[in-house]
Amino acid sequence: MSRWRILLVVGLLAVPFAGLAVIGSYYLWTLHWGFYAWWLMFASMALGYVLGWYWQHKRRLLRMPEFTAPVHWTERDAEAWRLVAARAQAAVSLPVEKLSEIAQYEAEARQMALELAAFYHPGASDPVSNLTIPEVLAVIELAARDLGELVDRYLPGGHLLTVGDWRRARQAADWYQSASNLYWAIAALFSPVRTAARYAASKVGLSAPWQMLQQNLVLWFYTAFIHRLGTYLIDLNSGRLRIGAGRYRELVEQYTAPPCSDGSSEPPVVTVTLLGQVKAGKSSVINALLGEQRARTDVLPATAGAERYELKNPDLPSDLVLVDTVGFGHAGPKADQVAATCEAARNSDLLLLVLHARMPARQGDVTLLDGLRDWYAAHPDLKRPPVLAVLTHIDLLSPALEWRPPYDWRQGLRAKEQNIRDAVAAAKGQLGARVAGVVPVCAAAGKIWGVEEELLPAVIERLDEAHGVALLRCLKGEKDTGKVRKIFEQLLAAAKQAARIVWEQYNRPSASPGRSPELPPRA
Amino acid sequence: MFSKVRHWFSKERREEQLRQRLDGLRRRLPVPRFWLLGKTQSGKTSLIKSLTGAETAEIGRGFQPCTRFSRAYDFPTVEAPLLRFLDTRGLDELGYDPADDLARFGADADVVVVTTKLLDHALENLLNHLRTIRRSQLTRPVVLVATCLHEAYPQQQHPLPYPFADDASLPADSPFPEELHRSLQEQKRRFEGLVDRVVAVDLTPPEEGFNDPDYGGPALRQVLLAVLPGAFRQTLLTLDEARRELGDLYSRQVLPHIVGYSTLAATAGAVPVPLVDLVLLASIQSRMVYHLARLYNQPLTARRFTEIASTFGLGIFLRQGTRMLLKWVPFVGPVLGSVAGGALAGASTFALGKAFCYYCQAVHNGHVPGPEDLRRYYKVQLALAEGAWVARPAVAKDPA
Repeated sequence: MSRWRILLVVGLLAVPFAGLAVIGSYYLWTLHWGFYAWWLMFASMALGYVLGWYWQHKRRLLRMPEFTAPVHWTERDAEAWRLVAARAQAAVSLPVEKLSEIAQYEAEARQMALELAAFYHPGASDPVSNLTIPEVLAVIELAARDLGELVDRYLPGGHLLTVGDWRRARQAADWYQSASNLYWAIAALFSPVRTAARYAASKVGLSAPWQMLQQNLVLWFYTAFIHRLGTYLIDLNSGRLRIGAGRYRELVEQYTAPPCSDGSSEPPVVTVTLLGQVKAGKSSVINALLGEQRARTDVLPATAGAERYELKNPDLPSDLVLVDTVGFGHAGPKADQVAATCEAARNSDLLLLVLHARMPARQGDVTLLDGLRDWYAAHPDLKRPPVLAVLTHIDLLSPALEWRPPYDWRQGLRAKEQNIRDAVAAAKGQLGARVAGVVPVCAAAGKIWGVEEELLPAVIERLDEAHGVALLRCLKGEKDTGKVRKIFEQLLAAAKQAARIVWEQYNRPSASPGRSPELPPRA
Repeated sequence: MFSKVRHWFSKERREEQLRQRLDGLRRRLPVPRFWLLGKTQSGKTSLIKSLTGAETAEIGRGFQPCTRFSRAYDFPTVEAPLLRFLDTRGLDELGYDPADDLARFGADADVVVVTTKLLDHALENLLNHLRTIRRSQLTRPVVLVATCLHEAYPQQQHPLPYPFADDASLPADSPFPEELHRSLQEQKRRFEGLVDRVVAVDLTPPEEGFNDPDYGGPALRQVLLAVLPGAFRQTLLTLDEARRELGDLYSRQVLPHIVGYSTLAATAGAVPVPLVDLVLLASIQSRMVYHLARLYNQPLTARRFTEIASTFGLGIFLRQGTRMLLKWVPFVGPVLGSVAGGALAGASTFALGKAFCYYCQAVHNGHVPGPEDLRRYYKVQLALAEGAWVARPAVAKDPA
């Protein structure tokens, strides 16, 4: 449609309303109600503007894009994010004109990319040189797609917005200004004195909201841009995008999607590994979680090698695989045991450190956790699985003759409750920040308490983090295997090509392109 | 001015000499030294409590740091000890090396007491260190005490009577669950060749509500008596006997202190050098009285009591003199004198301590006993104590 046709259609659509307004105004005037009606309308509009100004001032009308760190981010990534957040913060003070220039976006993106690359590869003379081209393309693709989604979701009518509109967004205030000037001119013809007073009032109070809205809009978009780009640059520099944008998006969605009630998308399985000294009660905790005696328990150390059990529970958002490990001695002295335990821990998404409530010699546990921490410090591209301490055998705590659950160990005043509280505090004191929490349970057959009440909720609370660990492991795994496979495929393709060329050269007269290219060249 | 300094100097010197003599005496005291080896909370404090009758808090206060990884507790006091416990608490710590402890008290310890929970099977460290300690002195007895039996039968009472035999084996119709048997077997297998005796105990605070808070305690004392060198048995026996006769809790707490000083006095009396011991004994006895007064929280009473005691010739002041002559007789004298003098010194100190307690108790109850009353009580106690000390010489002839 050409412009005059649109104008005609809009005009025709608007005529009835305009007519109604004119007739209504005339009617109100004949009834001498015009004065009151005008004040009513004025009050309503004034309130609208004031609220608009207030909410925008508080940034409520157009919410700044909120950011929650992706579950799979490591501590190093969180640190890198601080650089990005600082950039977004700095944008607030930039003038609106600058924020609506495409060149500014380009410059910002380039600077941020360099800054983050330098952060991830300190000491490298050219930190971006080792990035692969597909990775860089993946960042652009992912960030662009996210921005599209953001605009769709948050900007009303965003799908109609063109680049021209965007450039003109800044001028919108001017259009409004011209339109309102026209209004005031017409109004002044009818009632010069009153109009002058009203004009003065609106100039003082009501034109500010519009300017603010415009500024908010541009700033909002700019911040969203920095955030999204920063997110993917961090993933890029961590090497997680090497698997390609498509696969990356697929994996992230699989691990972060909320569980579907109809079971259409299977949530990923979370691997929970139980660690602890011999006889701490690892197998008993597994049995208590499973609700049946499946892991072998005995008064003497019974578990000889890592064993896996599947736990499907309708209360759990995802299925768990419980891994029972061999217990270590109280100082964890054997190097191969520590190595095996570390290996098991590295393949898990959540760790349960099982502690015997009545055996407070925990140097071995501390040594093991410190070993794990050091390993992850040396591998900053992986995320340390969260560790929950499970304090078992609380039935043996003083008074030993009593077992009358439930125990309100957080606040209770019974002797047993106080002793559970003390034991939990002691374990926390010994392990400190190495564990995310300490959960007291009794896993002895026939006396199970605290597993459903305390342990499962604590596990569920950590599932998001566990999913992040799983995703990161998966990304790294795919990257490592994918790299080899890709190189192999590329080599194979190159070899095929070379073979074909050689083959064709030897058989130039009778060469047929359809012949099997894999055949070795005739020497 | 000059005389003042000289006086002060000589008094200092006298005290220094006395202190040195007391130190020398303590080195010759027949104090059994127990080297406790076990993980945190494996029941070491409970074991001390069972052997001495001291309170947990008192034991905690009494421990003095000894080496980087160990501490020592002299029961009842450092000044007049009866039993000495060496606690290797660093066993759980990273980088613990028993070499330090071996160098410091490895040669002194008379018996190594290894404590472990019956159900604790994470014992690699303990076994490694025990091997080193055992190798250092193969003749020193090692006793394994398996503690916390009740963890094998949670929320149930101990089966009575205590069913373990001398070698910690169980009869065929054992009342215990099968897990306890297998765990005990495993512990015995693990410690085979490293320990000489095994005892199973369950020592709990009375408020836990078990039918026997000192479950296996008598068996433990029997085993320790059996493995201790002869001279040390006396201390344990005296302590046990003296404690049995008294019902009152407070007296029971004070008694070990009296026995401690009495043993010190008996050792001093056994020194075959005359005249020296009179000064020493008087000093030991007055130290005891002042120490007891502190325990009774009646320091003023002590002074009053020593006045009465010296006026009426309680303690060594009267009778020791006659025995002194014996020591002048060559050849026979020293031997006879040392046995009889040692026994008398011990007995009189013991009776004096008991008399002072009697005095304090009476003062506390609101009436001051008359000198005659006090003397009568002293004589009865002296007769009792003399019986005990003369019948069994309380002194180690050879301090090694």
